Amino acid sequence: MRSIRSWLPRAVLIVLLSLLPLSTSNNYYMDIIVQIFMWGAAASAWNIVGGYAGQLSLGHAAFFGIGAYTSSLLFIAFGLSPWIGMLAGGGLSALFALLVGYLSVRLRGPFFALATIALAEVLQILAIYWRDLTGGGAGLLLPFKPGLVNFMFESKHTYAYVGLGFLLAVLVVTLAIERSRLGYYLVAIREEEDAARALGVRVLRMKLVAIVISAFFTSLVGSFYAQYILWLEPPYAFSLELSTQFALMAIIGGLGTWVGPLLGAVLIIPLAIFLRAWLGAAASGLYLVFYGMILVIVVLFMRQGIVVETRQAFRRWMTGHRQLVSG
Amino acid sequence: MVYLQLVVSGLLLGGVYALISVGLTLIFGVLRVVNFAHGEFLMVGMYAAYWLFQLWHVPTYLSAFAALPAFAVFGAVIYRLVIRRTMGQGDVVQIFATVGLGLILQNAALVLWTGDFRTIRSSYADAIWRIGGIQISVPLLVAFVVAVAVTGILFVFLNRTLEGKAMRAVVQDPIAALAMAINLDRVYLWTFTIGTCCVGVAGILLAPSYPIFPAIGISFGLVSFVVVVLGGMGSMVGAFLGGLIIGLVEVFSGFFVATDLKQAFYFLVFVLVLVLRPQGLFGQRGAEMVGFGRLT
Repeated sequence: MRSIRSWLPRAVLIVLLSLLPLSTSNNYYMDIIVQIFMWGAAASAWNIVGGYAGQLSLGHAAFFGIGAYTSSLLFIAFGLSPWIGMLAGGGLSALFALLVGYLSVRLRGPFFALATIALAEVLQILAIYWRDLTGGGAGLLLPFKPGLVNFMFESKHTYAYVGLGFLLAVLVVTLAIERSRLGYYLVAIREEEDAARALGVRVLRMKLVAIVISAFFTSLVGSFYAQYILWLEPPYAFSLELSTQFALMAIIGGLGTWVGPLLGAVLIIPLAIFLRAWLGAAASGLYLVFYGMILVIVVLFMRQGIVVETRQAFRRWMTGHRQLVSG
Repeated sequence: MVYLQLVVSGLLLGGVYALISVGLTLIFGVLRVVNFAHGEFLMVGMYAAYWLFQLWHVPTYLSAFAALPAFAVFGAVIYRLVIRRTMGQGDVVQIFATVGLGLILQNAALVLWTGDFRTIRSSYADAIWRIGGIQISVPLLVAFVVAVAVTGILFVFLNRTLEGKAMRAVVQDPIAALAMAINLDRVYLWTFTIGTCCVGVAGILLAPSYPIFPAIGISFGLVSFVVVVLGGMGSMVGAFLGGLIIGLVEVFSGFFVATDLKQAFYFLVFVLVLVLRPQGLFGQRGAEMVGFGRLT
């Protein structure tokens, strides 16, 4: 009974997500669905290290950018299938993540965040500087040659299902971590690092595992983004703005909960797309003003994110209701 | 001669960085809050100078005084609305409250004033002094002198006045300060307001020398973090010297390696300092972790 109660909502969620792309044939709505899956996957990947392990990275755009550029450059230069290229990018990101992970041993809280910002900035500067390789600030255009091997599709439906596959992969890994020993270690490190170390948790190794997994998936989402948008530029792909958005979705939805980042994406992404369509270029930046406001309000007044806070409010309401009925 | 010019340029640039960083290090030193919106505060100051000049032809150096009350109110309001609620909270609250604030300010500027690069067209914007073949930009020299003055004034304020001593007491031991009837909330309010005024004035003084656009706060904000970490969080003198060091690093690496890579160098310096000497050059060991330290 207990297991059905815990698994049923998850199964329902997965079925609903899978049905979502079938609900519309309109390209505009389909774009929203693809973006929810894509950014939901990125935010969920950030959540593994930011939410569960409590290492608040503001440099995850570095992994995103490495993934996007690696698969794209390999495709353009050697015609290598982006499906393989994205794994190469994931490998590179994992290596870079080791460096970031070692930093997190010496640095805590805001200082770790600052160091990750600096590292992502260095990559951005290098990506602009090596213009022969990356196209520099002018950007990189991917030639559109649709086909399964080329990871390019005529229909947004196909992108939606590939994106859903990425999202589900991250969610399954998150759930697996949550239930494993690793998950408990990570939460222990987040809550009280020194105490965790004193109790024999191998803090460095656990942090490294978490950040490597997180970086790998963030990198895959970067490759997906490149294949979907077919256009890359360093000022976006490695930007602080992007890193902030990954964290923002996870925090708004609920840090350290498996479904929180996805919920954050569901709440946040349509807002940006609607505002852009509604107000046009005049509103460029307006959605980020709203993002900032929501972030500040959630952080100050709904500290545990929308998932946990709503669940608690619901429980309070339920108990109040029951007392009312029994009384 | 080239080297002398590079040193002069580096020191002038360093003065600019020092001026931006003094407010940040003061706020961190007392409140133990890293203000991730610091660069956006600077951007607001630059726009203030721009609009005062554009609309009412207020000379830039006069607007530094004219806008001071506005910055004070701005800082006090931000403290009351946001910063005060983050005090003593966890990392998520402390980091992302100001990250969100920066996001709001930067993009509000984008919505209100578009992403266009704006410049102040005045006679002194590109005035240059030539002394024996060395070129000195006058606006940057003014910024440098003000940086020295602000650092000096803050130093005297912290060491000679009762309010300054109260701030230092709070830094050394908040509980003991409370027992001495020091109003913590008021000290925090004052500190945040003074820090905001410092960065606002910095923005105004930089306005003639740099293009003004909504995202300019990102790069300047990051530089000020580099400077403050290098100098030691909470050290005024450290921020000043740290600024000079970063200015020299940027100018020399730009000249000898590549102009496009100069920022990458100080970010690497930043990460190295964070890892190897997190207390900075002039900070106390452990001050960056624990709530106690000394304001110098």
